[in-house]
Amino acid sequence: MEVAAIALLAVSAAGSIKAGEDRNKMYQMQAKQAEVESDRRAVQYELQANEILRRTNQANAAVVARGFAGGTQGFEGSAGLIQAVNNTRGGKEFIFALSNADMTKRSGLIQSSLYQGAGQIAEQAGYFDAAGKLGQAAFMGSKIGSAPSTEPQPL
Amino acid sequence: MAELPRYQPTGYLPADVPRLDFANIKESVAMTQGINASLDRLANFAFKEAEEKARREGIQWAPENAPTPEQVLAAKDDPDALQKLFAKPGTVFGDAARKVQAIQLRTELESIGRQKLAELSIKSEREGYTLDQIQQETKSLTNGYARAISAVDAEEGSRFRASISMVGSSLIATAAKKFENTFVEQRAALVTEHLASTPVTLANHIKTVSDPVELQALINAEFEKVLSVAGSVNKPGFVTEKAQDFEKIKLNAIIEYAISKDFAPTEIDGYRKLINKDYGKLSEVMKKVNIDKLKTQWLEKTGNIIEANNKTNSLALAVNQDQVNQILEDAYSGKMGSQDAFRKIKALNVTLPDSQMKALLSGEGAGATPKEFGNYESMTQRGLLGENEINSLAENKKMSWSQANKLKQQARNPDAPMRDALSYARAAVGAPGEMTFGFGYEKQRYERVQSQLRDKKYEALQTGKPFDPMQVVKEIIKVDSATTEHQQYESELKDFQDRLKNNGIKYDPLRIYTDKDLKDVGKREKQILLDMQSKLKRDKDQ
Repeated sequence: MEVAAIALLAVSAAGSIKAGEDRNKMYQMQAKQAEVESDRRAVQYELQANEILRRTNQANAAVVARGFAGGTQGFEGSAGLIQAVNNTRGGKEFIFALSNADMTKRSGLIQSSLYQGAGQIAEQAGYFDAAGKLGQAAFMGSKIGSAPSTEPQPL
Repeated sequence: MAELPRYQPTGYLPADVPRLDFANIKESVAMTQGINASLDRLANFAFKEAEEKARREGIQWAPENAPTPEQVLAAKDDPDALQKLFAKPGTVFGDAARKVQAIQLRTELESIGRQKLAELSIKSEREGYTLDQIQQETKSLTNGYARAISAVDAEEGSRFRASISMVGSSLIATAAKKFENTFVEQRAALVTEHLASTPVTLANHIKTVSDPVELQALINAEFEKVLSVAGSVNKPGFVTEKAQDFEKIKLNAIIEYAISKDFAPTEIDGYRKLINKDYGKLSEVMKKVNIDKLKTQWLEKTGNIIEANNKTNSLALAVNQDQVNQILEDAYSGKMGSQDAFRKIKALNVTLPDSQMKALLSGEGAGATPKEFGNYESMTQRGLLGENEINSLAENKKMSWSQANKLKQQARNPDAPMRDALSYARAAVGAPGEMTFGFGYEKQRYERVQSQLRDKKYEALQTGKPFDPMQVVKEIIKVDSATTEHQQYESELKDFQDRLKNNGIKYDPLRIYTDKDLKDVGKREKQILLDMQSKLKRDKDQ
């Protein structure tokens, strides 16, 4: 009976190790997922930056066209000033979009590393739990005891 | 001039910092908690092992270092000194050792206590202790020893008290019985002494008091005095016996007065006056006198006076005997009314004895002879005749209805000692009333005892041996208690009590435990307890 109890505890310890390893695998998958997700969101921000650039250029082109059509210089005077203002405003939003893309990528990498660390710790926890169970089994096994051996002792 | 087109802001702003899931820290915390739990479990195992070891050591240490009863009794009035004799409480080792020391002390003091009570029993017998003295000695012995043990272990103190009290109670009960016997003898002697002076007292009353009512009241008061003292003597038949003695003395006093010159000039005149119901100041007293008995006693006392009278009556009876017999037969068989029969006999100048005349007038004479009636009475007391059978006998003229009514009364109400013995048996086996649920075993046991008691009574009646129901029922219960069946029941009941105690529930012998009572114990334990109770036939289904 006691052998069965100890064997069950040993199986339980093996189960703890397996559970730790599985949790580690799960975290590794979550790490990859976090990276992919952050890449996807960074691309979205880059698309936003491109859109900002396109709109800036569109506004400036309209200003230049108006300037030359009115018989004035398209890059000087008030036309030049409006273009400078457009560049400043558009550039500011462009920088925001790029920064967002960069931050998203970085945070994805950080989250990924956190998940990887968690996976390693989960695996370690499985080993510790298994060790605790084996220790308990050993202790209980030593407490059960049995009748002393009746075999003749060597003289 | 038209305004130049300008860049329209999209409204994009720097994004919020993404929220990170610090899963590594959470895992780390969980791992630490898991390790802590494992370590706590192992530490608990280690502590339990250490406690067990300390307990074993304490149990081994205690017998070798147990204080002697002499040391304990010498120190029982000094709490500090007493505590120093025992292991220090508060540790596993100390508590275990102390418990063993207390058990050992209890065992030794029980032995000494029993010995001392035995000595007290002998001493009280030899030196004539009073009941109070015995109670006092027993109490001081029990309390002194129990206090010493309780100072060390209250539970062992209670056990000692329970154990030694049983012995003490037995001793007190024996002493009480002895004192009761002495008391009974003294009271009996007092009654006898009182009766010895009664003839003089009654004669004085009859001589000096002229008012019939007052005279009857005084005689009655004397009778009450005798009854009150005799009533305190717990002996069956004693009161009746003494009442009969008083009756004789009263009749003697009446006869003494009737033959005196104060009542009539001659003895014969006195007798005639009484027969003719010319009682004078005895008119009230004579209302409660049986005239037949008075005549018999008069005959014993004065003999020749009545003899002449009886001879006259006998002569008339001899001449008319056949007619008188025929009249009586007709009266008893219901062919003639009793009043008619009485008148016809009187016309023949025959005076029937008073008892026969009364029996004729009341119809008692019809039916069974005294011998037959005695047999019927005996059968009724054995339970062989019920009310239906008695009715049937009366209808078939085997006995008069008056006799039948007497027997039916006996059939309905068994005698008082038997009733007392059955009440005692019910209490002794712990069987509650019939209307109470549970206690199936106790009720069965009571039925068993009751049946055996009735068998013994029948046996005694058959063999004509004396029969004391209380003594016999005690013997039956004693024998029944020693049977294997009862011993097994006791053992199972003890297990049930122990199990309740282990679950922190106080055992109450008159209680039936329900789900509600056992709500604080585990589900499995509760079921075990209910099953045990059911097996003991103490649940409500019994």
